[in-house]
Amino acid sequence: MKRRGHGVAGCIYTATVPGAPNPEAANVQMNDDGSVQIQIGGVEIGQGCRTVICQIAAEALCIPFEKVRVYNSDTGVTPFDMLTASSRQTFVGGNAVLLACEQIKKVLFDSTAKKFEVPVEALDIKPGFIYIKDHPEACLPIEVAAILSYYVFRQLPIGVGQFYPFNTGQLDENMQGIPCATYSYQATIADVEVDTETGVVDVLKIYTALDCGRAINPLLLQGQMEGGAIMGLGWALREDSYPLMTRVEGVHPEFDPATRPTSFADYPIATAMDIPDIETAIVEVLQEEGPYGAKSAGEIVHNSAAPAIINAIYNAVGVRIWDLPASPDKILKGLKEKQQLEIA
Amino acid sequence: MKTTICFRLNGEEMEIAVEPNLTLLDMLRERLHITSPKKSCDEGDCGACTVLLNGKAVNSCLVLALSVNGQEVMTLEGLGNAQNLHPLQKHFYEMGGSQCGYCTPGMIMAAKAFLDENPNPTEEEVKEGLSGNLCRCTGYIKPIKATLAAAKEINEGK
Repeated sequence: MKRRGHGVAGCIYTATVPGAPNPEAANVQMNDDGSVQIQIGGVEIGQGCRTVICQIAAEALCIPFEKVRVYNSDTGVTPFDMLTASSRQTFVGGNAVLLACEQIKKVLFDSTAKKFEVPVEALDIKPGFIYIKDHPEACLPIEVAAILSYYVFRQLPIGVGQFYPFNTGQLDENMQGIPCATYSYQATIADVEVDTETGVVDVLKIYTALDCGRAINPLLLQGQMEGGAIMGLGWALREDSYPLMTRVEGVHPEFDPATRPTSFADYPIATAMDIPDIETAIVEVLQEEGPYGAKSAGEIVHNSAAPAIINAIYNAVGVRIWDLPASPDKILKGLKEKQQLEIA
Repeated sequence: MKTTICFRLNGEEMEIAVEPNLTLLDMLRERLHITSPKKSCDEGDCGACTVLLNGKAVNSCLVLALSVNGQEVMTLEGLGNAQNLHPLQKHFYEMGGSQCGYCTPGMIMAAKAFLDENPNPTEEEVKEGLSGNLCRCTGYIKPIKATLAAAKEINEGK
């Protein structure tokens, strides 16, 4: 018999390394053609930090995204970065870049003010131009402002951003205090169908919602959320580090290296045929201290899918799985125990 | 001992001397510097090294370089370029079909071989067509949508 169930789970996740000061630095420089290069430590491993850093700088300096280049992942050319972890790159890296961009903007405004012979306060910036607020027709292309800065007014449009999240790392001797600068929130709902004869769990649908502040790149974020949900599905149902291990009740399992999976055939991550429908919802609750209101995505997207699926299994057949993955043998064992309990 | 083989790579005649134990993948990456096929598992599980051999998708890690003598090999480099994207590349790009991008070249080549055989697939058929390509970050949702969109565009262009 097949029985359906629904499960819910939620989680919070940090945007900074808990209990640490989280220093972050970025060198940003505008060249005399208005293009920009950024040196930042954050390592790009596919999470999208290069894209997001580019977008933040382009937005801050009102230049096209294509004009920004990021040099990262190489301690030979980048300023010191504490580490790429805790999903912190958008929050700390973005803020460091923003601070550096502010310094560049100040130089560009200063040069434009001298050129137009107006006070700096009279100027504003819009895509491609710096202009006089009261006379918007008096505007200077940003690359011209850069040229003037370099060759006429002799000040370099270069910024060094250093960012320390405002309140992290202030724990007392009992490790009490504020560990993290900010938190993202995520929730998953899973609909499953459990076959009570075979113990096989079929996930029918996953709903995943995330509040990571401003979604700087919603398409990238949605893809990350979908990937996280499937990663969670694998965690819940498929992936076992030691699948051939003998499980003895109440005894910590022996991790025998001989039974460790050595290929993707032994460690079956989900394929395109194993995935359910996924619905994503991005809930933007802007965080004042984040760059353009952003907090963190990344690791959080994967955290609550597995507990939601495990809860859905419990909802469907009343079997509580404590040891992932919830493979058919464990479900059948749970069903049998439940039956015996009911008879008794 | 090396043997000289001749084959067509992305439309160009190639001549190269290879050892008998060299795989097609290693020849492409190490000797010919064609780096879109990725060396991930190197045993045919993951599909990241997928290329087309005479129009069929193969795991290039499981094909000996010697055996492509006289055959036709196509990699992502031969499918399109930045100025002239193949519909599959265009839709993967526009619809966010990749996250880290490591599996993407292999997945696009698998999709290409699949669409050549089945130009008008259902979503279920696309899932089956891409099932030999493992991806850890996208959750497959967007690659599947991109493949369907590319199929539609290719059909409309005919």
